[in-house]
Formats: sequence, structure tokens, C-alpha cells
Amino acid sequence: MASLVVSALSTWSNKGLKKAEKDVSAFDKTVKNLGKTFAGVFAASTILNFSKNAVKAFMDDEKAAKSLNVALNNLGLGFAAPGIELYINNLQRMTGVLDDELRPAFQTLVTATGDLTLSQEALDTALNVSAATGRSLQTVSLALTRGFSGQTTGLSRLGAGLDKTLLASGDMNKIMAELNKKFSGQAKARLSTYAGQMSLLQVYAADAQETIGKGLLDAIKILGEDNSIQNVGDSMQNLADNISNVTTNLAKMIKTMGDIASNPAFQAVVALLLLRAGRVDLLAKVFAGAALGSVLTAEGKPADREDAREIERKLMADRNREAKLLKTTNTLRTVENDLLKKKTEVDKLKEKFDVERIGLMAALNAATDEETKQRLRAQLAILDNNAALAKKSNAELEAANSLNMLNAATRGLTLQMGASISDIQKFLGAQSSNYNQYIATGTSPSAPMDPTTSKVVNDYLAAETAKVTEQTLSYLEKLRTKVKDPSQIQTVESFYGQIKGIAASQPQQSVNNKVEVTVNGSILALQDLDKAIEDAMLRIQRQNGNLTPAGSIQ
Amino acid sequence: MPVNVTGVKQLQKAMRAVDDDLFKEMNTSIKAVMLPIRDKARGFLPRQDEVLSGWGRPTASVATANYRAFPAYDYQTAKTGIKYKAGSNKRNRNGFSVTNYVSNESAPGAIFETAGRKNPRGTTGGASLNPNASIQFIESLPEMTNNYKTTGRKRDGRLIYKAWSEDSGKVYKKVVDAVEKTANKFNAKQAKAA
Repeated sequence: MASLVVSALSTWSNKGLKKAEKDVSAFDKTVKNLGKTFAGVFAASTILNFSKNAVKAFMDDEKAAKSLNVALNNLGLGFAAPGIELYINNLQRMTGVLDDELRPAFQTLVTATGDLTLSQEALDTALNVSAATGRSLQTVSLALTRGFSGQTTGLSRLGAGLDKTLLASGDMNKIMAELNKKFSGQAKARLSTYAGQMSLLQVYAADAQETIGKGLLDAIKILGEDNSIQNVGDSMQNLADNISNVTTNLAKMIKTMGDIASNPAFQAVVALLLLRAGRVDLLAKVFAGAALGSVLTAEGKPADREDAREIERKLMADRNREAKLLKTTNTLRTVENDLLKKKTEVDKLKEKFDVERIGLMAALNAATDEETKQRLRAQLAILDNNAALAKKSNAELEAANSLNMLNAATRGLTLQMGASISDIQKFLGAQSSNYNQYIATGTSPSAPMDPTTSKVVNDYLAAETAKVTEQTLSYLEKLRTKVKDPSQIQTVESFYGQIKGIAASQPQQSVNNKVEVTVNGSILALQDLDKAIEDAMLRIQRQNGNLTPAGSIQ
Repeated sequence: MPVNVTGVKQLQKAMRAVDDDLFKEMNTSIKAVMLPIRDKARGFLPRQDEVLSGWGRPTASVATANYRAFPAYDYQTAKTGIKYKAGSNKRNRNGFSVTNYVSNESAPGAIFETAGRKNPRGTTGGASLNPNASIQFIESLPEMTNNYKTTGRKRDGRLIYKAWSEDSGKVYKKVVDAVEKTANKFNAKQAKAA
């Protein structure tokens, strides 16, 4: 029910219209403006509308100019009005910002500052800030105006990244200096962009419209003999019709001229004349005119325009995507570099404070035997992930291990064999003693050792010794293939000799000696002898714990 | 230092930007002019027993009906529905909005204000069993102001439009005076500040 309202104050807002305008691209607008100006000239109604718009544009412009003049007069700066007008006209061509925006901004600033020079500087700053931040010139100039009045809150919202302390100080000289430092040259740089060029084109179009509007008003004054609206309206309609006719004829004339100009013979003649006259700049103008002609021709083909616009959009989208990808790649690369840098530093630090490594190095320095050193070097290789060193250490350790195993096995076998032989000798000695006792005392032995049993025992011992010798020799040969430095181990000859000596001496001694065996009846067969030997071995093991020589590594 | 401000909107914006006190002062001045309009409009409201008895009573099914029943007249609701607001209302489709306005927002108030504006002889085919209910309802209400020739049919009414048509001449002058006065003060302040 809020539509039932009464009020003395009503306002009109073009917010919706502006939004709609923004939705249309700058290119589209410009093209349409040009279209209205050039392509649509054949319709009288279009002429009429354009005329009305042109008149309105001129009136608005004049109104704004007068408003500025009044403001300057009130400030006592009326003498500078022509200069200011020239300044604004030049500024709009330099920055691509319409005088419709520049005038109110300048007026606001000059009202707040009361100083022409300062206002001009502030307007330049506002243009730069506006171009850089994307905020409207009106917003920026209003914020600056407030700043000059002591309210710097608006400046903080411009997104210019101004220091809070600086804003709080309220010193506009410093604030302006900071803004100039940050955004100087932005307005000019914007002109080099596509959007900037379009803005500049809009400025020229608007200027042209205003100029046409002024001309139309002058014409209306001449045509309308009195001030009645009917006469003015009729005059405008007639004027529109006349302009329409003139434009049609003009278009025909341009077309004819274009046909003539496109004639190769004509072009050759003109080129010759121009070259002869040395008027190169004029030639350039002719070519520029030809370019313009091609633009105007393109205006008449909406399909081509659409295609061109579509291609332009796609290109822009591709460029944007490429820029985004590049940006992302750069960011990731930076992050990767940072991480690598940090990792290297951390590794260095880790090495310095690696307790395990320190312990191993200390142990390596303190170690005296080569084997321990090899083990420590291997551990260091593992720690450092040093493959080459690990391989070398591995081979050396394996060799040392093989050597130890050989030593252990050899010594073990030797001692075992020696112990066994000793037991057998004891056993045989006891048997012999029993037998001798039987002979001396007449006590009959339970089972005297027959020659067959004795031979079997000797053969068994000889065979076992031969086996041990063979095995030892094979170990020694294996070791020789793996260990480069033979001096680290006993020579084959010495081993061989020792083993050979044992093997040769012990059985022979048993065989050659006169064995007198006294059997007390415990050994009745060969199996009993085997069992006796076995028991002896077990007993030795029980008594000594093992058969491995002391000092050898298991 | 005078500032050439074109239009109330620009003046309001400029004042908000530079001097909020002046903005409030202007609103106060306009409010003083507009409140009599509101009060006068409220004075045009009929008392509860002055409207058709059926309209003054809510229908029995109002609580259970699954449709919006015809709004019953309630003096208090209609009275409080006539308000003064200093802000601006929603823009219409043409882009216009008003500030410092008096509005008639309640349903019974709006019915009283506008009944018969579009069809002075009522309509037929309504929900009522009485075929003449529409015209009888309109005829029971006071005469509507007739501003059709000057401001259009949409400016006719019995409450705020009536009050406005009677006093708008004075109000316009006072509001414009208030705006001008504030603008002058604003300019004077700016001049002093410079």
C-alpha cells in the first residue's frame, strides 16, 4: 500500500538505466552510436531522435559549464573560467573521461579547496586513482573533497592502501603525495588499453553530439521565427527531413567517390600527382580515409560485426585464461622454490644436529680394528643413503664374515676331531689295559677287540679326517675368491699343513701304535663303539659347553 | 562559499557528504510541514461506527478461510497506517521516487482512500450475493476529491490525497522554502569554511 503516497519532493534516479548501459559493452555502445550517426541517417525518425539527443547533450553540457562558471565566479575565480574550460576539454581528450564527469568533479574540488592549482592537481590525482582502482571519478573526487574538509574516512574506502596513521593525520598534502606516488600515470596508461581507446572514442562522439546539438539549436533559432513550441517542432521536423535528404545524397556522393577512388587508373593518377607534389602527408590522409571508408562499410554488416565481436570475446577469454594459468604457474613455482630452499636449510641443520651420525663418527674415530670400522662405515653409508659406499662396505663385511665363519668352522672341527681322537685313544688305552691285565692276571676280558674292529675304527677315522680336510680346503678356496688381501687370513698351506698334520698324525698314530684293548664287556659290537664315541662327544659338550674354540666368533 | 547544487537529491547528497547536521535540519523543517498533512488525512478517517456495519466487523471465517478475506475496517489500523516518512520510497518503473512523504499503508485505509476511483459506479460479479453491493459500498463513503482534470485520476482520494489537494499549495511553498533555506545555510557554511 506504500504506493499511496503524497510528497513535495520527488527525485528521479537513472540507476536502472545506468546498470543496463553497463551491461552493454563499450564497444557495442560505440558501434551503436556510430551506427546512429552514420548507418541510421537514412531514417528521418532516427535523425529526429539523434537531433533531440544532440540538443539535450548540448543543453546539459552548457548547463554544467554555466554551473561551473557560477561556482568559479562565486569563488572570485571567474577570470579563470575560459582557462578551466580549455583545461577540461583537453583533459577529457587526454584521459578519455567525459567532461560531463570532469566538470562536476572539478567543481566539487574547487569549491572545497578554493584554489585552482590545488583543484587541478587533485583532479589529476582523482583521475589516476579512479583509473587504478576502478572507482568512479565522482566517488574519488568526493572522497578527496571530504579529505580537504577534514573527513578522511572516504579516502580509506577507495582501496588505495593508504596508511591509517597518514589518514588520521588529515594532512592532505601528504595524502595527495602518497596517492600520486602510488597511482601516478594510471589515467594515461588506461588510454593504451582497449577500454581506454573506447572511452576516448566516446569522448569524441559526445563532443561531436554536443557540437551538433549546438548547431541544431542555432538552426532552430533561425528557423523558428517566434518562440512557439509548434513552430520549433515543425522546424525540427523539417530540419530532420532536410538533414535526411542531405545525408542520403551525401551517402550517394560518397559511394560515387568511392567507386571513382577504387578505380586503379584514378589511384595511379592521384598517386603520381601526390608524389610529384611531394605531399606525402596528404597521401597518408587519403589512405586513412580509405581505412575509415572500410570501417563505415563494415558498419553496414551486422553479421560481420557480430562475428568480429565473437572473435574478440574469444580472444579476450583466451588471453584471460592464459594470464591466469601463467599467474598460477608462477605462484606454484615460487612456492616450490621456497620449499626447496627451506628443505636444504633444514637438511643442513639436521646434519649438524644428527646425534646418530655424531655417535657413529665418534665410534669410527675411536675404533681400532678394521672390522668394527667397516661396520661403522656401513652404518654411515646407510644413514647417508650412499649406495656406492654401502656396496663396498657390504662386500667387505661379507668377506670378513666368511672369514670368521671359516675360522670358526675350522677350529671347531679341529678341536672336535682332536677331542674325539683323544677320547678314542683313552678308550682304546683302557681296553688295552684291560687286555694286558687279562694277560697278566688271567682275568678273562669280556670281549677283546678283534683286528677287524680295529681296522674299521682306523678306516672311519681316516675317512672323517679326509672329509674335514676336503671341506677346509673348499672353504679356503672360497675365501680366496672373495678376499682381496690374503694376508688377513692364514695361508692355505699353513691351514692345510695343520689339518694335514692332524689328519696324518692322529690316525696313523692310532694305527701304528700297538693297541691293547681291554674290553670289559661294554662293547660287544661295532655299534657299541659308535655309541661310545657318540657318548664321549656328548659328554664333552656337556662339560665344556661347546666345541668352538675360545675367541672365535659364532 | 556558495555551491551551486542542482536538485534536491544532489543537495541531500552534498549535505550528507559535508554536513550531516544541515541534512537533519532540512528534514526537520520538511517534517514540520508534512506532519499537518498526515494529521489532516487521519482526520478524514470515519469512526468505527460511521462505516457500514458489515465492513466494521471481520467475517466469521477470517481465521479459517484459505483466501484473503475482504479487509474489515478498523479505525486504529487505518489511522496508524497513515504515516510520515523522511526517507525515500522505492523507485517506480520510470525511475522516480519520493522523499519526505506521507503514505497510507493499511488495507482498510487504502480501501477507504480509493474505493470507486477506477469504477465510480462499482463493479458487478463480486463475491457478495447482493449485486449492488459494490455501488452501495462506494455510495456509503464520503465524496472523493476530483483532481482528474489537473493531476490525473490516480491522484483522487479521500484521505491523504484529499488532504494533499487541499494543502499542497502551501506545503510546496514551505518545502521549497525549507530546501532553499537549508541550501543557503549550506552555501554559507561552505563559504565560511573556505
